[in-house]
Amino acid sequence: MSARMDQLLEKLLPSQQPEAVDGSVTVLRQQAQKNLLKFGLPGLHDERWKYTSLKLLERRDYSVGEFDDEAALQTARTVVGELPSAGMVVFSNQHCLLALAPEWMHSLESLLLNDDSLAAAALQADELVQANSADGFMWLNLTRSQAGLVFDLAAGQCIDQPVHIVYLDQDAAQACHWRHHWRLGEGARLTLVEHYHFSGAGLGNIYRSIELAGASELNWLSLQQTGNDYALIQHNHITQHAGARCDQQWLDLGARLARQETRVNLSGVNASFAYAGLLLGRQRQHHDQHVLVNHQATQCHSQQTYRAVLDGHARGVVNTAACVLPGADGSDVQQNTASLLLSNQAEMDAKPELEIHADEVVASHGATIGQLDEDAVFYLRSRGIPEAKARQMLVGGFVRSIAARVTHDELREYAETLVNRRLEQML
Amino acid sequence: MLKIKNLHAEVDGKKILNGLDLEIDSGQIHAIMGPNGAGKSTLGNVLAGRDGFAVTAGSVEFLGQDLLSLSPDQRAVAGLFMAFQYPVAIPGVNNAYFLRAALNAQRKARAEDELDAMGFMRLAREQARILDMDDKLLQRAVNDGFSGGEKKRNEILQMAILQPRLAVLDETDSGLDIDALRIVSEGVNRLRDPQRSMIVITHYQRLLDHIVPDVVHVLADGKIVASGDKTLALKLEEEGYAWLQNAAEPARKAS
Repeated sequence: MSARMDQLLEKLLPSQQPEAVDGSVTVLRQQAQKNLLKFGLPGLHDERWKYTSLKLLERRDYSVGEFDDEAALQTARTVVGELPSAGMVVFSNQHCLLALAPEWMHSLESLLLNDDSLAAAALQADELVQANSADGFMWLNLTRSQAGLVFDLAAGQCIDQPVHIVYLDQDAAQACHWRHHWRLGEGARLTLVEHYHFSGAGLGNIYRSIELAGASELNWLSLQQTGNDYALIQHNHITQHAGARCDQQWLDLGARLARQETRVNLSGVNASFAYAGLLLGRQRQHHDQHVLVNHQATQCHSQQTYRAVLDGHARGVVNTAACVLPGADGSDVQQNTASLLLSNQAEMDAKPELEIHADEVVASHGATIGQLDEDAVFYLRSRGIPEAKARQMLVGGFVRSIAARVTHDELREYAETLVNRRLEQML
Repeated sequence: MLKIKNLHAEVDGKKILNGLDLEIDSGQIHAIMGPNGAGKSTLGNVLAGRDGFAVTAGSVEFLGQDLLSLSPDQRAVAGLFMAFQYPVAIPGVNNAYFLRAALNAQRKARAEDELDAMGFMRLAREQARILDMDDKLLQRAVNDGFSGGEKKRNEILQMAILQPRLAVLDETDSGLDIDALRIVSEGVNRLRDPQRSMIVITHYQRLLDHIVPDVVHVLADGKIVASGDKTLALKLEEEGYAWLQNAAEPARKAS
């Protein structure tokens, strides 16, 4: 590990470990810290990190500050506004506030103190070690995470109005590590919306492990519109059993640096994973998305669709990967990435990957990078639409298919409004 | 309404229009015919203000304004409409939304009240009905997946909604079968008005059986070499353009 990296680690590792009653948790944490110190934080030499430099984080100092819980709840209420809601979870710095959450949701912190089996499950990292896919940020998360949302939605329970998760910070630059463990029981259904509203020059490091039991259904919308100084690093690990559906829309609108890596195991017959990602970057924003789907069972479907619009010196990375394992016949894999570059300095890397070890598979991938069609701009202008508005309409049309995937009507309208507002600021 | 004087224009440094004169009065329909490469479509593009078509000399006066000093959107606001030979498909942009944005942009620029979504849909459906067009076209993405006939019909529907003072129809007949040609022509004819003029650019006399022009011009080598009434189009159909190649007669000014 380089000396610079050591310094960054020192900044990110507060001296005290979170408390835990259960001795095995302490052992896990210590092991994670050992791994972290051994392997260090990822760098440009790591294949999956080669597009994302951590220099920005090295230059920063991170403070520990307290955020008034009442004020945080108040802000979160404003964020969710008039949207339909079946409950709200608020993260403010290192706290998970459940005052407005459904009763079946728990905070990792309190579970740890009560020596709960769910807490132990949330801190298990076997999958990562087995998959040999862990990186320093996951170890860092495991050793230092305190706040997190843990739930196991009972079989057959259907929550159709959205539960909102709101992430907040103060202006002070803080490094926060959140760890979630979500499980949906057989046939359960849930709609989740995550709102990222960080404002400072902090770092958020989120890890989620998600298990979807047979025939369960997760509708999941991520609205990342943090301030332009924030750095957000996320890892998701999703396991889907037979017939489970995960329908995800991930809108990267804000942040200085936003990187997410999602690994999906379609482990049961007929599981389906549909992901729609939107990257809207300007100035020096850096958006990096890696989504890797393992087709482990027969008749599974995965679909990844991305639209990226980059202006200024923005950089976008989309790595779509799917691996169809031997015997996973009847797999259907689709990947499509289309990008628009609005300036000469903007840069996009699209990296589709397909690895197929079964015979009967339908697979397609496509990646395009281009500029706005000037003939179309002229067409709109020739009808009386001013140039700026014409460009905005065309870019809006280009990205429209992503927010259109949201099935909940009011959420879709809300997501479309956010995207349009962002485009107005960009163009 | 429109006065074009001594218009010279280039594309990529190549001279295409070489001193074109044309004058059109209110309510008139002028057809412009001519062989390939004569400059017909260039004339349409210069009028609409497309980038890459450089005017090197001459003037264009439209309803008392210097048309060439206006941006493409300002020209539309001033009352100019171009029905394109190849309308562009715009995936993701709803046709009705696009048309309302266009109409309201024009109304706003003219300091008129903007139409709300409901008021607009009423107007658009009414126009579609008058033009005998399926109003489902309104709910699709602009020209996306449209057949050739649907694209041209959509152009005429836009014209009906935007109500321009001067419409330039650039080879509107290209790619249309006989039925589609009839429907599109009937649409255009319904929009004939003493206050509205049209320039119909075409290769073939066939279109002019449906849209009967007041004046026919022949464009060759970037200028008008002959003008006459609709019988000129018939003569061209029978004899081709060859007889004009050596015609020494100066361009007659249309009245």
